[in-house]
Parts: sequence; structure tokens; C-alpha cells
Amino acid sequence: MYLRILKRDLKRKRTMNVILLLFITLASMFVASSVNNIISVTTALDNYFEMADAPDYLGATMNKAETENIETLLDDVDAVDFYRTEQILFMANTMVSSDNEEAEILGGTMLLQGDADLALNYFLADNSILKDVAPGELYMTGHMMEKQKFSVGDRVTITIEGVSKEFQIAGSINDAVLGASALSITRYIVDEEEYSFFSEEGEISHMYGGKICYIETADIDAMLAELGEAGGSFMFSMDRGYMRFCYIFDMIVTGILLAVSVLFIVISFVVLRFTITFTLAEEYREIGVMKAIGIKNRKIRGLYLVKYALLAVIGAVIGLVFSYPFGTMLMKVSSKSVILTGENAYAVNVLCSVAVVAVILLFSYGCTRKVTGFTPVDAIRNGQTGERFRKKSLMSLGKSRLGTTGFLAMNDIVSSPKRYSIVTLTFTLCLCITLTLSATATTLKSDKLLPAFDMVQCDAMVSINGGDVMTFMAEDGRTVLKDYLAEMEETLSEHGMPATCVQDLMMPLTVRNGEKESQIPCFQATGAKIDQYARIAGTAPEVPGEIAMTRMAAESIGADIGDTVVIVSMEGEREYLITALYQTMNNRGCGVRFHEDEKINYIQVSGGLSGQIIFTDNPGKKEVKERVEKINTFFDEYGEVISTGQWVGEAVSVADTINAIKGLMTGLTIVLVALVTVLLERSFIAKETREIALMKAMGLKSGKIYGYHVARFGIVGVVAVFFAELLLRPFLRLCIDPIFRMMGMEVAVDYAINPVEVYGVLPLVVLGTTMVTAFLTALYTRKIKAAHVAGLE
Amino acid sequence: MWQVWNRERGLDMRTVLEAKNLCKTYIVNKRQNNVLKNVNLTVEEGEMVAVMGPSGSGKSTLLYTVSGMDRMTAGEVLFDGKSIGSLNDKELAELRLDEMGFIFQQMYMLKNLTVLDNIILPACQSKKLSESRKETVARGQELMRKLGIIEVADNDINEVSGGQLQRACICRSMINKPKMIFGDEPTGALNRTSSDEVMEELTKLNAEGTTIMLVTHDVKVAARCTRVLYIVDGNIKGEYNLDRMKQASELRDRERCLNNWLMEMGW
Repeated sequence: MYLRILKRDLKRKRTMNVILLLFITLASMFVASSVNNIISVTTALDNYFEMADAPDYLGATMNKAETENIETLLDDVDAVDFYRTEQILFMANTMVSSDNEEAEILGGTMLLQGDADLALNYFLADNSILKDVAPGELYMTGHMMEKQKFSVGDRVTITIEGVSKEFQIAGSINDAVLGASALSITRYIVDEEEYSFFSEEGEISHMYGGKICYIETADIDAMLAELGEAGGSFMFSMDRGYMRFCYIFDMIVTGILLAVSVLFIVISFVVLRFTITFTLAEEYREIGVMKAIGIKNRKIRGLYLVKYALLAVIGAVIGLVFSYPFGTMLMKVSSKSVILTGENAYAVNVLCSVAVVAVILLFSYGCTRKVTGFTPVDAIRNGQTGERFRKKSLMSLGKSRLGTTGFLAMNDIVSSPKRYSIVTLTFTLCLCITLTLSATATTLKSDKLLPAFDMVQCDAMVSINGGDVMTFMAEDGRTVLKDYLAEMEETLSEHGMPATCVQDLMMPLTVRNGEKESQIPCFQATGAKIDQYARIAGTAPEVPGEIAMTRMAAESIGADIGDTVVIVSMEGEREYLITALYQTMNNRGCGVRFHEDEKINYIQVSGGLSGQIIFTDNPGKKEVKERVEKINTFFDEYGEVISTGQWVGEAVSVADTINAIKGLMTGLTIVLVALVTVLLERSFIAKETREIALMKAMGLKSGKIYGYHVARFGIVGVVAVFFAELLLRPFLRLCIDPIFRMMGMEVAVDYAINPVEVYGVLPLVVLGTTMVTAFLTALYTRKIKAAHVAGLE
Repeated sequence: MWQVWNRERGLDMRTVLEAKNLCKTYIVNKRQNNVLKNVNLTVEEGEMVAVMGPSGSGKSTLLYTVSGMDRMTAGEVLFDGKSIGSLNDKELAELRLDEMGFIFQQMYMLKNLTVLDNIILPACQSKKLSESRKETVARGQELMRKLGIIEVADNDINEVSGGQLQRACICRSMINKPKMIFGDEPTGALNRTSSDEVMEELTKLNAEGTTIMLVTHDVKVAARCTRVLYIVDGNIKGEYNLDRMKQASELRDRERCLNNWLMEMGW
């Protein structure tokens, strides 16, 4: 008997049942894929490091700066459990050329190594581990390959000190330790014999050769203390924490994926609950009839629970099937440098789908429980007890200045705020995350972020040729750099562009405050005065012997403004007075800035940021853009010049990925908004069939009824856009600020917003999707005839 | 007799509604069901016509088909000289909005609107009277006052009684000053007192010149009409003219006469 009722119910109320089934499918798909992604993302780095066999500590040395063999030293350090080394050659970008005319050989550290002593697991595109490289072939760091527009099959020529060899790119590698987007390090792995072709040349080995030591230790501090000065001579070094930190930009992306996933889960359940309540309200009349003929509450509830369980199971299974490709698609877009694994994907997805079924049954149980308290008559009256203390119609057509269509739409919304708030909430959340992504992507490509990298405000950036930078890393490097910059300024002036050129160089030095000490990257600018750099507290150092420190660096050694600290350099120990604190996103928020007149031996220099060009004749934005293009026509001897915005984009390196996610999210938002609109509008039509028929009977034209239905969603869309725009700043503060804080930004970032996108395109896309979908769905009301008002079919 | 009555009131007699060989067929479960079979009828201006008949005889179908709410299968319906079969949906909607009023058995109203707003909604949609919103409201209130329900103007529709709601439906049907009002068992869901009140109002409207056609099972309701059509199996089996000249106090006589006639028809 019940089975027959159920069968007939499923057949008769096909529309509402299909709508519910679709929502369940969506919920199951979103929840299963999102939970799986959340698990993958939150454990991603640990898994990745484990798979790659990443060390506890990494240090790179250069043969030319090595006073004692690092391996011999490490052998004697008790705190070292064991270590592995890789022989490498440090290269400059001028040493690499390609037959691919579109490829851009970018600056940054370039490492060449053979395949014989691979100390880590490097992952190929199919996630397998690179074992060896065939002669004539080359593998390079994946994200750098993409960034430099290389493709598999391109031919690359490496030339070091006259020794040249051509390779063909065989594929990309994921390098867990040095492959983070933030590092801009390109690792080239070639056949060992071909590597020897370069490394066995004595001059090349001395000038460019070095080692990367991967050290396993339980106590890094003890190990560094034992290593003593040798530890300070690492050209660059990092512990696990720093390795993790380097992925911070990549983690922005995975963090966003996490936020998107949570959002999807919230939307799924909110909409699902609404649909169940809505469809159950339709059943009240029948429930009342069943109660009237004496069927017990338990049996009635059982009937509906069986129906919802059936729909839930079918929807959950379909959703489960779709959750795999959907989750994989999200992962693929968001993960370039990190390998995200979903080892338990199947189990997690199945568990999530089961959870969705359980939640649906819980919702249904809760909703049907309401019915047990009603008399049959109450139930027949659609669950209304007859008492009402709040007026339903809050507006008055007589007093309203709105047209009838607008009035009916607005009145519906204010009369059923709960119903429409669900739609508004869904649209607002979708749009909010799209706008947040837009603002984040814009900011990450904006020169507003320049001070966050501890740089002076400038007009253009120049990636000084790697070979030239090497010449600054010498005892008289400061003089060489000053002459170099003066020459650059003269060249620019000759072309009618008077400018000041600035170059920051960095050296990792030990900074001590009493008992506490730490190795901190120390910077000195040439071409700019220290008071041109942003500070968050104190006054800029006025004389040599005074320094500015980041708050994070100062806190790491327990120092503050007014304290005197000791900096250990090649010249020995010297005391410095901290006069200012500043913030930076470089080097995990740690840094020390020397006065520009401080005398330092530049042999300790291990690198620097890009050079900066500040035009002194105050050109406008358009003029600056034209100048950047023009400079590149005559600036070959110095390096490539790019705009400040482009530099920030490249430095952060995930702006494009975030842009891609924004595109994906916009697409998903369109699909989600359209689906929610179709399903809800269709539900509303099903519930309002008699009212629509009545309006037609009274003589309202179909066009007016479409208008009325579209206007309801239009108003909701406008409200959602309004709230999303209003919530954009708080959303950015809530979701994106913490990421910048983790990178060392103490004072909030000034977000750049693309007004066309944030106030124009994206809101219009959501609004347009809503209204077009509502209109197309409202066309269904054509099928409702005036005669239906009296139940005539 | 109603012609005489109308002529006495100085009204020219004019046919408002005419159906010729009207047929309506439904296909239910692949089976053809001929609900109306070559029905012919005319309704003159100022008439109040009741359609009676057993359940399933096609009364409501006749009402909805001649009023353009439902499309006929064959035949012709002329409303105020216009063939409604040739009108498209938009033109039909306009005709219903401006020239017809409807009252249903269930007091269907838009549930999110107050009683007054439900009444004035068709007027706000119509361009017929070209008046301001304020004037429309005033007219709506005037109608409500006339039908004795002004005190519930700002109430929600579930805050008023069935009788009040049906009178509100009459107000709504009157708001665009239609040529004709159609009622599908307008008192079917009301108790006797409310039913009498509603019929009293409809009789008054008719006396003021509004043409009315209604479907009813109730002899008391039909007795207030000027003419009664009896329909069986989709055919008009007979019609009965009631004496309009008699006063309401003689309603019982009218009922008795009508009852007798209905008995003859097989009621």
C-alpha cells in the first residue's frame, strides 16, 4: 500500500521531486569534492615534503667562498644525523638561450646539476619520480618552465665560460625544496656525463660550482652552533619552517580553494534544507488527509522518510560520481607547484555522500516532526494554525509608487523574507568570493604592494643581468655597483629620461642581542637613502652604526627600538643601534637594513632584489609605460626592464593562478546562480500555480507575469550585489589579511581594486545570469492557463 | 420579462454574449470526453443568468469557455460583438482585464496582498480608466464601503471571514467596470447568511445594469436571477424566465416556481 502511495507520489509530483533530486546531487557533489580537497590541501605540504624526502635543513655553498670543505665539517657535527649533497653549478640567465623565440629567460637563481647524485625525489608531470635523464635531454622546474614560456621539446643551449651544450627539454619537475613559486629558482637536471662536461672545467667549477647539503637533524640550533662560522657561510639556507613558508604564495591558492570548498558546503546545506522544507510544506494537505483517515503519525513520517531516503540515495550516488572529476578540476587549477594527493579520495567521497544522505534524513525528520503536533485540519491548511500575529503583507499597492509588477515582486520578497534570504545569501556568498579573488589578483599585480617588499616607490624595475650581479659580489663590489648604476642613469639621461637607479643587495649575517642570535638577511641600498623606505615605527637610521629591523626579526632576538645589537660579518663583530622597525614580505618577514653609508665587504653578498628606476622628471603613468617599452630597445647591456606592477605579479607569482581560479569561480558562480535560480523559480511556480492562474484569469498578460517573476530574482540579485560589495573589504580582511600577516605584513595591505571588474563586470554577470535564467524558467508559466484557477485541466 | 424591465428603465437591449454551436472536448487518458456539445446561448445586456445542472454536466466548462478563460474546441463565441476564438492570448487577457469580472467558488486571492490591494490590482494593471493610483484606491474603498467590508480593507486575506472575502472578490470583479461578471458557484463555499448577503450584492449590481452569468447548484441563488439555463451532458436542456417585476419579498414564490421547473427537467 505504502509502496503504491510512494510510487504515485514520485510520478505525480515529478517536478518537485526532480528539483529535490538535483539539489541533493549538487550537495553530494560539492560536499564530497570539497571535503576531499580540504583534507588534501591542509595536509598537502607535509605529504609533499615526505614524498620528496625533504631534509630538516638545507644549505648551499659556493666553491669560491668555501674556506673548508663543508662535507668534512658536517662529518664532525654531532647534531647532524645524516646528510646528502648534490653538486651544482650556479648560472646566470645570460648563460641560457633557446630556439623558442617566445621563451623569456628570467632572472633569479639557476642551478645546473647531473642526475647521478639526486638527493631528493623530483616529481615528473605524471607524479612519477625522476630517476635518470637521457643524454641530450633536460628537465626543469615546472612553474619556472611555465613562467618562462618553455614547452617540452624546446631546445635550450647552456653556455658557461665558453663551454656550450645544447639540450632538449624533456619535461618539467616538481621540486619540493626549491620549487616554490616565491623562490624563482630554476633547477636544470641533465645527464651526469653532460653535466661533467661543464663541471670538470676547473675555472667553471671554481667560479660557479657549489653544493646543496640536505641535512637531517633533530636539533637545528645545536647543529648551527656546532657548525659555527661555516654555517654562516652558506650562500642560502633554510629549515623546514622556511621551506614551508616559501610555499606561502602557493598556499594562498590552496587557502582560497579551502574557502571556496567551505562556501560550497554551506551553500549546499542551506539550499538543501530550504528545498526540503519547501517541498514538505506542499505535502501538508496530504498529510492532513492521512491523519484524518486515522493513519498514525509514525507511519506518515515513515512514508515521507522513505521517499526522501530514496531521493537522497539516488542523488548522493549521482553526486558521488560527479564529485571525482569536479574535485580533480579544482585541484588542477589551484596546484602548480605543490603535488596535492588524494590518497583517501574514494573513501572520503563515499563518506561525504553518506553524510549528505544522513543530513537529508535528519532535515526530513525535523520537518515532518512539525506535522505531528497538528490536527488534521491544521495540516490541511498547509501547516498554518490559523493564528497569525505578524502581518504578512507589509507593503500597500495603494500607497506604493512602484508599478504593479515591481510592487508584486517587492511585496513577495518582504512578505517571505526567509524564503528570499536563502537565495540572497547564496548569491552574496558566491559573488563575495569572486570579488575577493578579483581584488586579491589585482593587488598581487599592483605596485601598491611594492613597499611590502621593502622597496622604494619607483617607476620601473630592471632585472640586472646575472653576470653583472656576480661582479658586485666582490670586496670592491659597492664601488662597482655605484659605477654601474651611474652608467645606467647616464644612459637613461642620454635618451631623455632623467632617472635615479637603485639596487638593493642582501647578505645573510648573524645578528645577536645578548644571548639570542639569529641569521638574518641584511640589506643595503645603493642609489637610495634609507629614509625613502617605509617604516612602521621609529626614525630612519641617520648615520652608519644605526639600523632598521623588521619587527619579526627584532622579536626573534628579543630586541626593540633603542636596543643595541651585534652583527657578525667578515670584518668581525660590530654594534648597531636599532632606530626603526619596518615590515616586509621578503624572507619570512625578517630583515635588517643598513644605512646607505655603512661600509660592508660585498663578498658576503648572496643576492638582491631587482634594480629600480625612479624617473626624476615626474612623468605620468602613460608616459612611464611608454618609457618602459622604449628603454628595452637600448638597455640590453643592463637587463630587461618591466613595470612595477608586472614585477609584483612575478614576485608573488601566483597572481595568474589566482586569476585562473577567479575565472573558474566566476564560471562556477554562473552555474550555481543559474541552477539555484532555475530550481527555486521552478519550485515557486509549482507552489504558485493557482495564483498565476488567478492573475491570468483577472487579465494579467503573460509578459507581466514573466516580469513579476524575473523582478523577484532581479531584486534579490541587486541586494546580493549590494551586500557582496559591502562585504568585500571585511571579506578581504578576514580571508586574505591573515595570509599577508603570515608573510610578515603587520600593517594591513592596501588592496587594489579593478573598478571595472569589481563594480561592473562581475556584479553584472551574476545579475544577468540570475535574470536571464529566471526569465527562461518563468516562460514555463505559459503552460498555466487561466482555467487552472478552478482546477480545470 | 427582463427585456420589458430593461426597456422600462430606458436601456437599449443589446446582446453581450452569444455562443454558437459551442463544443469543448477534453482528452483524458487517450479518451475523448465531449463536455460541451453544440451549445447555443445568448445573454443580453442587464441580464442575470444562472446555469444549473447536475455535477459533471459541463456548467463550469461552459462558463470558462464563453468567458475566454479556456479555449473552445469548436463553434463561436461573440463577446460584445467580438469573436473571442480569433483573439490571441494577449488580446484575451486584455478582454478579461477590462471587460469581464470573475468570481470563483473558492475565494482565490493573492495571499501576500491585503484585501484592498487584491481588489485594486486589476485596476492598476488596466489602462481602461486612465486614473491615478490614488483614484483607484478611492474607487476600491468606495466599492468596499458599498459592499460593507471597508473595515477589512487593510487586513490580510486570512484575517477575514469567507463571506467578507467573497464580497471582496465581487469588488475585485467590479473594479474595472466590466461589461459582464462571471461567477462560478460564488456562494458554494459560504454559509446561508453569507450566501444571502453575497447574492443580495450581486442582485443590486445587476439592478444597476451589470450583466451577470453564474453557475450554481443552489435554487435560492438561481431564484434571484432573471433567467435559468439547465444543462445536462453538455447540452442546454431548457431555460426558465423568472419574473423580474416581482419584489424580493416574493423570492419564495420564485424559488417554488423554479423548483417545480427543475423537477420537470429531472433535477
